Amino acid sequence: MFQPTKDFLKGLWKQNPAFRLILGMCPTLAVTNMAVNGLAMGLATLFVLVASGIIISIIKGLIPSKVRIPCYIVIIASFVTLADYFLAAFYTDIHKVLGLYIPLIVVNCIILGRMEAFASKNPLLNSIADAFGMGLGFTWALVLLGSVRELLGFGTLFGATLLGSWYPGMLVMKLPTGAFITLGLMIALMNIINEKVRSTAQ
Amino acid sequence: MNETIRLTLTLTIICILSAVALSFVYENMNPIIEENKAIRLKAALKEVIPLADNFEEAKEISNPEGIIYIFKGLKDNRIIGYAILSEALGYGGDIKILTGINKDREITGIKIMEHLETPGLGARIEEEEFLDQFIGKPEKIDAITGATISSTAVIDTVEELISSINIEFN
Amino acid sequence: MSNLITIFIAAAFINNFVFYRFLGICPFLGVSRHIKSALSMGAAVTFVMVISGVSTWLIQNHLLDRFGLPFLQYPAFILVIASLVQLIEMYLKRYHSDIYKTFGIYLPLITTNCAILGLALLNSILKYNFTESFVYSIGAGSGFTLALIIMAGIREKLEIAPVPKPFRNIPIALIIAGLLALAFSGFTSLRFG
Repeated sequence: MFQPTKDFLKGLWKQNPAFRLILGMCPTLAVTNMAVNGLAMGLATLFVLVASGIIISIIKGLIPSKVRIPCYIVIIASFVTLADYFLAAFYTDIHKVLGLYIPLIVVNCIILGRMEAFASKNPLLNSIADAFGMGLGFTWALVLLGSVRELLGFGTLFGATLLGSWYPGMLVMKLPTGAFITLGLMIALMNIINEKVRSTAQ
Repeated sequence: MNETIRLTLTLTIICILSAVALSFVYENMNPIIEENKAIRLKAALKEVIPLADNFEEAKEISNPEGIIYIFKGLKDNRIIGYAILSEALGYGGDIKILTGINKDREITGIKIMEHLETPGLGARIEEEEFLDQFIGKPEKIDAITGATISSTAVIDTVEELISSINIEFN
Repeated sequence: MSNLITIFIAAAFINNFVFYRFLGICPFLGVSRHIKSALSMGAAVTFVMVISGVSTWLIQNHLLDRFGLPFLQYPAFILVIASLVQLIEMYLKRYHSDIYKTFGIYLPLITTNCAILGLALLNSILKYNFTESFVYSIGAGSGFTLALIIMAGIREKLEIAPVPKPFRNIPIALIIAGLLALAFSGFTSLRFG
């Protein structure tokens, strides 16, 4: 298979940052009370991943190893600032909900991890593929988690009412407890699926 | 020594480039952000003083404790109401309430601007059913079951506001 | 004074960084398997939080605000934090090697601990003055340490429990964290005057 395709695909499932690598837990728990918030955070993280990956892959030869982490961090922080201002200007409601967690994308271990493990050592196209795969993998994980919590908590999905007004809503899903438990159950589910896939493959 | 210079120089260059890029982004985005804020404020003011066609901040009134700002609602250049942003201490933090008052000291509109109350419980202070009770000259306002602290905070603060606010109409 | 006490209690219990604000989850899950390592990480994080909280406060108020550079907040804060962690590591390695050994590999990991950056940003968002930021940093670090220790105590017992295979390690830890979050949400009814 074309190498960049492989690099892209691994982030979607096998090395899904949220469910398998267990990275970026803070935003995963914090903004998934509704599906649209998970989507926004995922896309913002995707943007920072790809943008930083491009820059760092291009200038990787110019950055001395000893000072690489501070350099990566400044580049990542700059793109996060850009995303922050973009959301504040054009998607104010989402910006308000995501709040503190937008700047925390800077220390999302997914980004620094991919820069360090991949973008700094691989050609541009592969780095873009890797960043895209990881970003999309993270995004669908957040959307899935957000959808479950929104459906059970509010009875809606992306704002559209799915369960009728008879549904009283589950308060726990809107609170931190629901976040922790849903994510825990989801990772356990992913583990079960993976085990099934592995044992049937053997 | 040479290595240290190279390390410092690389980091410094990257910092400078980032700073320049970001200041450029800021110059272009900030006006849009400020404009959005102004639009949202105007919409909120119109919501609480529906008959007004223009608004001005009433900087000349000295704000007592707990009041963040006061806006004059104007129609044909005459003051028909005041919109006051006050702070209440709720369950999870401060609740910012925008209240519109006309010259008969009746409430023409009320809007919860910001709050940190629990979703599904205290956050129900945003519900129309609760807020509609305030319109006019309310005698008694019912608190929300299951959200006593949040709703009584709002009720008490608005009552205090109506009785103590020092505003003029002429 | 009572204001400072309120800030501390709020930071440590009511608005606990782990169970209410979802900060520092990665180290919380990663280092909470044994009480000893939990204590070390908690102490290291509190230490870094106080120093970086104060430093970023100074930079925000005397540099960024004074010269009108709000757009440099994120790069400036994270650079300061990364540098501080580096400096603290070098200092401890040289002059207090016993403490350095206790903190071990946790120290460099603290740079990407979102609780540190989160704390720095919250000081700015909540508009705390210098003393308030200082107290808030201590409270936040204490709350984080508390969460870590409670979790470690439970997970140590969990080692010998028959946990189903798919749930081992992370999933069961998350579910327990959820129950702890529920317990901590009881603190929200703590009110002062």
